[in-house]
Amino acid sequence: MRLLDVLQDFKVWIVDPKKLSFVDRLLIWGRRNSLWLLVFGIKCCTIEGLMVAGASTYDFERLGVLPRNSPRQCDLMIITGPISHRLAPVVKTLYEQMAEPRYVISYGECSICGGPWKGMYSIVDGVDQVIPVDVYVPGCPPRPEALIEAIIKLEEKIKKGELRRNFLPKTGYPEVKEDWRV
Amino acid sequence: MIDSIITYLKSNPLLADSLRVVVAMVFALIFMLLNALIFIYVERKVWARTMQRMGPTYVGKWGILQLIADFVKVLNKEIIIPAKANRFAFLAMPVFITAVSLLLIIVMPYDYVVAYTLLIFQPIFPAISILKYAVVSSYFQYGVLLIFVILSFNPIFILLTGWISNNKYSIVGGFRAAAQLLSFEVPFLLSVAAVVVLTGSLNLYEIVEKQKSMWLIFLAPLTFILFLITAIAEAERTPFDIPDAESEIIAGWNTEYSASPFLLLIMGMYVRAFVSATLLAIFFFGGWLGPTLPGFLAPMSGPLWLMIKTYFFMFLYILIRAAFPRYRIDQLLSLSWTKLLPLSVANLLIVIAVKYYLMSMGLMS
Amino acid sequence: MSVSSKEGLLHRLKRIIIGPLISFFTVTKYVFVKRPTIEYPTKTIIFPDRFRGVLEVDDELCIGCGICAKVCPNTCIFMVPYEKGKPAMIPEIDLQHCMFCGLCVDYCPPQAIYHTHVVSIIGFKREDLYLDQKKVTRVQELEYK
Repeated sequence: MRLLDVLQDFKVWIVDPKKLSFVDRLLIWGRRNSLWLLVFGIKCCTIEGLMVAGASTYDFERLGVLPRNSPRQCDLMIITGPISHRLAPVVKTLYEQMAEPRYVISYGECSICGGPWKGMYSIVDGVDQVIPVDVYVPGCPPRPEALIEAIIKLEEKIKKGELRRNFLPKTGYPEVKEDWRV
Repeated sequence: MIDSIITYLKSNPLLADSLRVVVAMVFALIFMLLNALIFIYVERKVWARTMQRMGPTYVGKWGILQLIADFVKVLNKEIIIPAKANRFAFLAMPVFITAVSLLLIIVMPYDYVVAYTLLIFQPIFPAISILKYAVVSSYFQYGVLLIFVILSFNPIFILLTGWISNNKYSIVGGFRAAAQLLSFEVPFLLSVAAVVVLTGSLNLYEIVEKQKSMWLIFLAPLTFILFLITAIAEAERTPFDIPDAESEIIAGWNTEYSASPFLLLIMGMYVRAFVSATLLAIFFFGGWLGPTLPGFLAPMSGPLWLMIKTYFFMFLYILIRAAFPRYRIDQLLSLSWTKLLPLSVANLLIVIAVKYYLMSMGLMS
Repeated sequence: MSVSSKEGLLHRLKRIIIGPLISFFTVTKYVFVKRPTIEYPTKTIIFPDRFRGVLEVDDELCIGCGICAKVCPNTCIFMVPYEKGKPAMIPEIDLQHCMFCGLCVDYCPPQAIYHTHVVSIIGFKREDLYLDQKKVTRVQELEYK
């Protein structure tokens, strides 16, 4: 199965948008127009923002964001709440289960920096301590318009070719003080 | 030039036959895959509309290019193979499933549809009339039998797909799919047997020709309802989509598949749904029978009628998906074994009695 | 699927046949009903007057008292020396931590800090969300269009 490994290295990881060929442009066009969403909600922002943005008033399927359940088939992960130290390994596992290219939107105050629980013993100070984040949406909760705006911004970011591979956070994975999982 | 080719092919019947088959198969394959794409697009739009949403509108006019964007993206994603899965079998199974689904083009009259649709260009290119010979599926005297032989491969491959993924959700989905497909095959075959008894033929073309006096939906409405329910179950669509129930087992037997293998699986599923919609049109709604269309559409009125009826059933499938909640596995099996099976046996007996009565009256041969 | 024994056969058949038909036709009806979707990038709704959007500071009214920083429950408002010098200190807002509760607006003596109707200030980095003294006085120009 060497051939598959070689084939996978052929994916485009662009630095300079001027040097793109037609195929690269086609791939990027497809990539930015079909961001499939991993349905994973943590707290109240899920109901107030994420689900409203998917419902009939602000339907994000207009932009090609299709909710799928299996992380293998998804491109976009929206973190909507505070990450406790117990949840951090789960979030990291879900992110690693997604196939490249994958993007993360940090939605709401709690996921950006911990929110009202910032500095608390059980809450990670922001989801970017655990997984890399592409777009931050501030608010408590942010309006659904802000989420759609964030998806459009993310599409622009993909269009510019700012892609990343094999990210390792500089701060490192936060120490789990005690493994509460049995 | 073309005449010389035709004379050469006439002297070589084996070469001519194989060429004809290849041309017909390629036409039918392209047609089927294109229709599967259109099916997915129409499903997303109509399904969104039933929820008062818009559906894809951002990519192209009315979101027409959405499916192409999805196609490009899915092809371009990373292929993830689970560490404990069997690498060869993991990659081979989607190919098998898609191949089994696409094998149906041998029997289904899609090559007829394409060939006779292209015949409207006959005034411009007279040589295109050679396409009349590029229809393979009419030669299958036992076409209906072949369809069910091909369809009965599906549970085996789906169960294997769930098994080799080495994931608990996959294996649960695989076993559910096997139980569902195997238990619904019995009423499915019995309702088809009623159709075969009424028309007295296993050839799809003859079944349609027998309906010239009266469509079978008026003769045997109970058979139609039974066939509709079991066809939806065989195509694994809502309300019988328990093998890939999103809210229970993540994505069922295709949980672990990511990029192009996932594309193949989805293709296979939608091709099967499309084929079952066509079968409904052929068995009960008179296939390509219908009034001749006016103007330049006259030569392709037959294929057009078949497609109109097929798309009608596609819409029906989509609306059924939007309207009804999912069955539980025990409800599903009890529906199949305690309700549909006795009903279909009774239906077969009724159909035999009707056929005997009509034959004694001299209304049917 | 449990059916009470009092229910007659006719009643049961009616429920089995008519129930699915009602749901099917309801769904079919909604295919043709006008949709309430707001196509966001091209159309927006008009927010009510008291909508709590991103905070903005009017530097002509601000007196630099620092009450907003004191009452902020999340301590996301910081008083810093102002460049232009007119109010000696001006609040800077850390938007990643602000929860739009509106306490600072309620307590501000000259009503210099107020909610705008801006909903979408979106950052690619966490630093983008810090409204320093240049940004905090012109939030409405920053809104992405």
